[in-house]
Amino acid sequence: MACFVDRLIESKTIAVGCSARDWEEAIRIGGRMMIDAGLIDDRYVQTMISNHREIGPYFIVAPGIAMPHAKPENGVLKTGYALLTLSSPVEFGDEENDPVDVLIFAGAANREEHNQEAVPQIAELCDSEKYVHALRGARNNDEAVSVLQDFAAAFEAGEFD
Amino acid sequence: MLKGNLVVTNEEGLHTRPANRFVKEVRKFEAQVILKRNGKEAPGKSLVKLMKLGIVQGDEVTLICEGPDEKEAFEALTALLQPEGAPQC
Repeated sequence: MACFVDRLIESKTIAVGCSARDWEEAIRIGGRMMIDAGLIDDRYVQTMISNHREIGPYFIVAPGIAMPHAKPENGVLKTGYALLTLSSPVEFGDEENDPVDVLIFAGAANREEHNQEAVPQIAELCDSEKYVHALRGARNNDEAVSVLQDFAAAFEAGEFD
Repeated sequence: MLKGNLVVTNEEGLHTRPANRFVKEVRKFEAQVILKRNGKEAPGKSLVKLMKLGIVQGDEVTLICEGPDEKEAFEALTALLQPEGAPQC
């Protein structure tokens, strides 16, 4: 578990309370953070956007929460993540879970890391009302980091087993 | 109740996209669906809980369907987990 939260904090790819016009802009904002941190290239951002256009909102995982991602070969340079919360939620086209205000971006360098690290760990966070609520309430990056660290500690302590 | 162990041959395992398809399929049936892996279980209707199981290609899982259309549900969901059919021994 340490992995997902650690990487997120280390890469400093966290932004809270941002505003985005629409889902595409939200993806670009998160994507830009990851590009700047050397985790992905622009192709990956384009793929996340075109996947959503072609496939639909498959990465909306829970009410208000999206996990935008694509495949390792779409432009991942190094496994990494980004967290973005929006001051006003945006529609992704998922009737049940829209609108979205929390986006956890994931880019895994290989399938093992995607399936064994990224997906279950992010899912654990998304399934926890307490921590999602705390993330939504974070007023700045430091508060968000603090919530993530609490979550990681709880996970290590086996609270989710 | 129908219960069976099967090996997931779907190359994508059961991460986000296939899990999404699985959940949509589960919703078409009345039967209650549970998927188990390594002692943990998740209700077929919950995307995040399915993702938490971290199912990858090659994993053995237990699929449980209970309800009036459990047979149809079991067949349809097995087909999603094993798109090319059961693995050859």
